[in-house]
Order: sequence, then structure tokens, then C-alpha cells
Amino acid sequence: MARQDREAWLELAARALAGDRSAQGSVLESLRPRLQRFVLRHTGNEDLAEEVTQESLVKIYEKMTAVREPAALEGWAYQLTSNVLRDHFRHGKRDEQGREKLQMLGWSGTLSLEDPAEIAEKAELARLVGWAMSCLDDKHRVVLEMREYENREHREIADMLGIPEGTVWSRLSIARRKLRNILRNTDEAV
Amino acid sequence: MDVDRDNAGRDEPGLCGPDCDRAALLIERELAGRLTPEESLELSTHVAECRACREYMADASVLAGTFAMIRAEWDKAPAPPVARSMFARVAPYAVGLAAGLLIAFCVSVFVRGRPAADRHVTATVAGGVGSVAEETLGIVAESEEAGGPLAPSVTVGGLGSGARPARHIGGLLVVGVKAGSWAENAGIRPGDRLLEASDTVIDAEAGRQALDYILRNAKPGNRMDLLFWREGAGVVRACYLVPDTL
Repeated sequence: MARQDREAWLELAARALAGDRSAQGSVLESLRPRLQRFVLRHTGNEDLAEEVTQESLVKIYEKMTAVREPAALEGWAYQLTSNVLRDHFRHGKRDEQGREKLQMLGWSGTLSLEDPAEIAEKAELARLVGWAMSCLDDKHRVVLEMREYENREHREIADMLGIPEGTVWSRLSIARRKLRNILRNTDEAV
Repeated sequence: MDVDRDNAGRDEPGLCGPDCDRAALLIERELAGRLTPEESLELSTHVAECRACREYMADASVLAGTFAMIRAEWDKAPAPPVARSMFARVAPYAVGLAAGLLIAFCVSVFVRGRPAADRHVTATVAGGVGSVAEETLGIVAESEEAGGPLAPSVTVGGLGSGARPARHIGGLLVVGVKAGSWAENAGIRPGDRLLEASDTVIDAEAGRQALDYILRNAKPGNRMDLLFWREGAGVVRACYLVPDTL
């Protein structure tokens, strides 16, 4: 986020946290596209992404004023959305067929983007990784999600979550190993 | 939830000890492109001796590629390189170096007895397929006939190497290298065998088709890691950067 944007966001966030209804509406509108993209990367399904985003936005709206620091609002919103996603994946039934496909692909990353059938497989791959993500502890999951789905810098993640940068690194390394173990030994996960 | 069978009782999913926790952190830094030369050496040294970390490192790289693909797919933006090399910083050179040495080391540990690389070459598959590899990489490959009497050619591991299952090394035999090609610059020699391209095992049976497929679907600017088997040297790694016009 550019500096002016950042300042404008913090000002808006401060007003929203103070209870300004119109600022709260603006916060939600500002968050919506970002969260939707974030969710879409997890689910690989636009309808589902819409649904999860909507549910998250409602919760954000309801609980927003509990956040103390304007700078923490965005990170908090991501964590809340991440939890909604986690619940979605945990309650969803496991996709055995998709898992076999994942193993067959060996996550080789060599699929082409052009073929519709392969796009469907990618959506499946995204959903499977999303499911594996939901098995991680909250504190590990959100860091890995921000890094990998959002491509955020470590410093930025640290600021958003209000934790030291070193903690971001160590949580990332733990989260990634856990995720890998879940994907490798899928029978033991869940 | 404990998802790590080998580390039951540990709070965190360590691989095998404090050194491995450190290695995982270094791998994290490598993925972010932040590894210093000193750290790179440290990681290489550890990974050369630790199979668990070596395997984790390979998986982490694939996983990073998967995330890059997921990001690109739902951004409708130009795809970033799918296969992000773990050794992007230490192996801009064509052949071998750190990664190759490591893998050579790891393979040499598994090898029991001399691999009979070229003894069992059987038939040449008629032309038509495999031209993409020739045009792009400059590799003229001879494929072994599927189900030929003596193929696969090399088996690594198996008897004498504990519980580890035998690992078959087939791959594509390089019979020629075109002058001025990528392969020539990379030091690929006739007699080398292409084992893997972008984490996909190039099986002898469908090797040329698989390679063609991968090369055709590679995006300009992508980096492809190619693993070759070289008699006497073990596995060597080469990086191929997909040019803008394929």
C-alpha cells in the first residue's frame, strides 16, 4: 500500500473504530475486493469465495469496534476471514478423489493455463491446499496465508499482526513444514 | 494436532533436531530470496548430510511453485515463474555446482554397485516426437523402447540400502548436442540422461512426449530445473531459462 493510501486507510480505520457508520461502510467496501481475492485463492471457486467473503464482512462489521488500534484493523480482518475459511474447510467433507489427483500431479506445477479441464484441476489444487491450510494452528496459518496468498513482505506481515519480524520468519518455517507434512501424509492430517 | 509421525512428542514439526529447525528457517529465507552466501553454504552443508531436510527442501520448492500458480491463476496476471528454484542464487551457472553436488552426493549414498547406464540401450523411437526438446534445448535424445527386454537401464538403491525401495533411473539418453544450443552451453554431453524437468520425472517410456509437453507449456521467463544423470558423476543439475520466443 502506498504511503498516502496507508495514511488515508488509517484515518478511515480510526473513524470506523470510533463508531462512525459511514466510515465503517467504507472500510468494508475497501476490504471486500482484497478479502475476496484472498478467499478465492483458497477455494478456487468464485461462488464460494463470494459466500465466505460475505460471511466474513458481516462478522467484521459486527465485531469491528472491539479492535483497539487502527493499524491492527486490516490484519485483524484477515485473521477473522482466515478463521471463517478454516471453519468452512473443516466442516466440508474431504475430497478423496481430489486428493488422489493432487498426488498424481505430484504438485508438479506444470499444468497449462489454457485448457479448461486443467483450470478445473487448478481450482481443485487450490482447494486442497486450502484444506491443508485449515489444519494448521491459527497463528501459523495466518502468517503463511499472508505470505503465500497475498505475497506480502515479512515486515508488512509483522506490522499487520503486531508481532516481531523474527516471529514471522519462525512461524512461516513451522507453518510450511506442517503444511507439507499434511500434504505428504494426508492420512494423518485431520 | 500432531501430523508428523517421525516427531511424535515434539511440539513443533521439527525434522530431526535443532539443526533441522535452523535449516527450515534458512530454506524459508531461500524461498524469499534473502539467503546470504554464508547461509547458503550453511544450508548446503546441512542438506548434504540430512535426507529429511533435502526432501523437505524439494517439497518446499514445489509448494512455493504451487502457491505462485494459485496466485497467478486468480489474478489473471502474467504468470510468475512456476518452478522457483531453491538454488536460484547459487546455481545461475548451467551445470552442477552446489545443487548438483548435493544431489550427486545424495545419489552416491544410495548407489550400490556400478550403474550400467549405457549397456541396455535398446531401440530408437522413430522421429516426429521430441522435436521441441531439440529446438529449444538443443538436445537430441534417444528414447528407449517401452517394454524393451532390458529397459529400464539403471537401478539405484534396492538391495543393500536398507528399507529404501529400489529407484529406477531411466530417463532420456542424450545422443547428441546441437552446436551453439543451450545444452552445449550448459555442458550437457552425449551419454547424459535427462531424469527430471521441473520436478516431473521424465520416464523412459513416455519421456519425449512428457518433455515436449513441459517445454510447450513453459512460460517465457520461467526457470526450469533439469536433472541429468552422468556416468561417474551422479546427478547434475542444469537450469534452463525459457526464452521469450519459444
